[in-house]
Amino acid sequence: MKPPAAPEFHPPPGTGRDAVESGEPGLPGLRTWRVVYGFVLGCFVAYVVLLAWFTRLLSR
Amino acid sequence: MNRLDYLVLFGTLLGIAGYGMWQTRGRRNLSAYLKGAGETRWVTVGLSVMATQASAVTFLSIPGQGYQDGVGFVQNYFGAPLALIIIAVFFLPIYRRLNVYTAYEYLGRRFDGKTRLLGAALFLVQRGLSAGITIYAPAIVLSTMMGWRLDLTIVASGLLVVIYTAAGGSDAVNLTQKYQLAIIFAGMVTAFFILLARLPPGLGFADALVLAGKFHKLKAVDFSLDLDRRYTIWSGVLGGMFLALSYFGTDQTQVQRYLTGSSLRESRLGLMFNGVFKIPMQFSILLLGALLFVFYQFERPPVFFNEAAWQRQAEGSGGGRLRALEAEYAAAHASQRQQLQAWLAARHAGDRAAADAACVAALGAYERGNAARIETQTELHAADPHIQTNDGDYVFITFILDHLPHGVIGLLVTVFFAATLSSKAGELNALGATTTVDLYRHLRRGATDAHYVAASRGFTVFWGLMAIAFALFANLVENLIQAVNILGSIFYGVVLGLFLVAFFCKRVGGTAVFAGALAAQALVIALYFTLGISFLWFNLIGCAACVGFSLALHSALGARDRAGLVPAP
Repeated sequence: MKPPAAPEFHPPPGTGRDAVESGEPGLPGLRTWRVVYGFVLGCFVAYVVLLAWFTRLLSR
Repeated sequence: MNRLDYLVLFGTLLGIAGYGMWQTRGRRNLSAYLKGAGETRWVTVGLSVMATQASAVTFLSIPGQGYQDGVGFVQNYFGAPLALIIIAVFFLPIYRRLNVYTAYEYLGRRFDGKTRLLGAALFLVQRGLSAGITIYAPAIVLSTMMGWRLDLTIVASGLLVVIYTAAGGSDAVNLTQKYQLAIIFAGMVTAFFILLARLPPGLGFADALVLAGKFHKLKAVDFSLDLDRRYTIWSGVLGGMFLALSYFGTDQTQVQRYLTGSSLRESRLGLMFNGVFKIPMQFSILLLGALLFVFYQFERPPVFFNEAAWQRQAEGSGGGRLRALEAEYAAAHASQRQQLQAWLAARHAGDRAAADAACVAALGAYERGNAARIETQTELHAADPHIQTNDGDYVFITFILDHLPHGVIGLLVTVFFAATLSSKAGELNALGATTTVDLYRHLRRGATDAHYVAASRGFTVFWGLMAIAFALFANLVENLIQAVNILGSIFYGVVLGLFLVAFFCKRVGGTAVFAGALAAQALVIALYFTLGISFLWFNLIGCAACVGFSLALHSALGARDRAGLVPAP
């Protein structure tokens, strides 16, 4: 028998401010959070590719 | 160091600390004291997160790592951007929605009191121990090189950070970290350009990179699947991601920094700022070390960079052998320098065959010199077992003292102390907050905010004094940065496992996760002493073991393992 499902958590009063504060990132060219995360991920991939190229070019 | 250097050092450190205390005086409310006045913007959050992680060890030890082993250590940070995205998407909204002071408060709400206490205890043990290292590490190197008393260096830097952190709380930490980081960047950039300017005539930046590559210092990415290799892209991405998830997502030292953001947006952008800049920053510091290596191919370095230790033994009974080794090293270095000058001339003349021949001869001379260096290290260790054979932490400070002008020396020494203070302040702030919120508030319920603020100040002072005491009695463990990372890796995986079960295994309750975490921690400690694998893997093992044991125990316990409150997605 499966254990009973846990009750849902309700945030304490006065702490639901994130509904208001979580708006869009508001950065030029980075208008949604998905785009911001994509940008960070893109930077990471670019660093790894550049460093791998750097290694190939200079570590022979 | 002369008067100008001391003026730069004391003026900067005391000025920043005093300004931070003045600006944040009179915090009486617990929320303002622990989470700031709610006005912190994302740039400040991002810099604060960066400054808390980048201790003096980062700036003293990593150039030495680049000098000795090359830039491969950068792979350790490959997991950080991925981890920071996961934290921004999943962890951060829950922390902010629950309006918690500490990450462990969330464990209490999700599971039960004992699991919260376990999370807080693992943090306090691990962070309390490494807090001593972050003071000790720079103090031992700087006191040795400057001829200062080690105990006074530890006590002075420790007390300064305790005073302004206890007085101003989280806002004082954020404010001072911003200015300390500005000094750190200014100092490191200055050192980088002076180093480039001090390279021998005719050796440009491109030549220096090619030369560093010839000596295997620029292997930034290693695709090897060998588990015994310390730094590979796989251990960096996987192990590094789990280490970064634990550190940034569940270590109160970091959680407290981004919870000071005035909104979820500010906290998130602060984390993303680190996701973008962490890898380039670490790579730049490692590259500085690789360029120091090139510099010292033309300028003879000491046979052992901890010159004070070498000098002491050279004056003793076994000094003859050490001086003979030094002469051997000097001869090999002179031959190597000559070959490298021939290599440079041939390279510029476009004579590839002559360049290759000179390079092979230089590598041969380097091997002879390196053999003398290794024998020197062995002799020193045999004469005095307290002398650490790894002298990488002394490389950058040796360059600073021997080759930088006065004023800049003061600036760079200020960099090391500013980095000590900034990371120490973040740690003390978090240790004080966790002790107050997760332990003390349960023993003494219903007291006023002013009482809890006073208690938090007291605990900050307590942990500061503990760190100073630990630093006074600590001993150097291999390479400083690795000591901190190894200690973190032993505990972080299990703590991360606790949080992953909390976030993603919503039916698992406190009893299963508590027992599962204890079993996983015991397993990691046992494996650490029996396996010789890269320490980064312990993050993955600890985390997987905690999640696996928790799920297995939950299945075994059934309804007796009752889940607590589960936050809405």
